[in-house]
Amino acid sequence: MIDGVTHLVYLGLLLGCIGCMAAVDRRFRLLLWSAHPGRGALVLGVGTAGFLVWDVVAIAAGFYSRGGAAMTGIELAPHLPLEELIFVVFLCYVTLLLHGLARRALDRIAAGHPDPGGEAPHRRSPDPSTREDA
Amino acid sequence: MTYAGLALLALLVALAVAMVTAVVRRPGGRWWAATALTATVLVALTVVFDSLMISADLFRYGDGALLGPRVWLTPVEDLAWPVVAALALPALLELVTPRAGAAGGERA
Repeated sequence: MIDGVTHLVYLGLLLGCIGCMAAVDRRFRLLLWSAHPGRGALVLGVGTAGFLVWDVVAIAAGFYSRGGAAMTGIELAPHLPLEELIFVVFLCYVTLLLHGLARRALDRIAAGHPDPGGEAPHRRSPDPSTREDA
Repeated sequence: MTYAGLALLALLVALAVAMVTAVVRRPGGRWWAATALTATVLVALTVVFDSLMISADLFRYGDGALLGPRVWLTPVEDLAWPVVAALALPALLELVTPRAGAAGGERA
C-alpha cells in the first residue's frame, strides 16, 4: 500500500540521522568540523565508494535486491536505490564519529580528567570542580 | 563467488588497510581500543537495525545466497559491514593525517 509519505520514510530517517550526527560532529569538532575537514570528507568519500562497490557486486551476483514501499523508488543502478547511497554515507559517518568520540573519551580517561574538555565551542555544563581524584 | 566470499574479501581488504596503518602510523593502544569499541557498537547497531530493515522489506536476499545463520533477522554475512567499516575507515583517516610532530608538534 502506497500512501503519500510511506515512500519517504526510510530516506527521511536516514537524513534525520545524518543531521543529528552532523550536530554531534559540530559540537565536538570531530570530522567535518575538525581542524582538517578535507581529510574527513576524503575518507567519507573513499569509504562510500568502497561500500557501493560491495553493493554493486552483491546485486550483480543476485545476493540481494531492492525491497518495497518505504523507499522513493529512485534507483542509481538496477536494484541500487538512492537510499543505499545515503545509507552508506551514514554508515561511514557514524563509524568515524564513534571512533573519534571513543578516542577522545579514552584520551580523557588516560589523562585523568573524564569531564568534557576545552575544544567544544559552547559547553553548557556548570562544571564546578566536579573532579573526583582522591 | 558467494555473498560470504564477497564479505570475506571485503574483510581482507579492510584488514590490509588496518595493517598498513599499523605499520606506517603506529597508532597507540588507545587508538586500537577505540577501534574495537567502535566495531562492537556498530555490530550491535547492525543486528538491531538490519533486522528492522529486513522486517520492513527494504531489501531481500536471493535464494540460496546466504550461509544460513542469522542473529535475530540479520544474516551473519551482513555483520562484515560494520567490522569492515570500523577496521578500514578510522585507519584511512589515520593514514591521511600527517604524523603528529612532523608538522610542528604542538602537543606536549
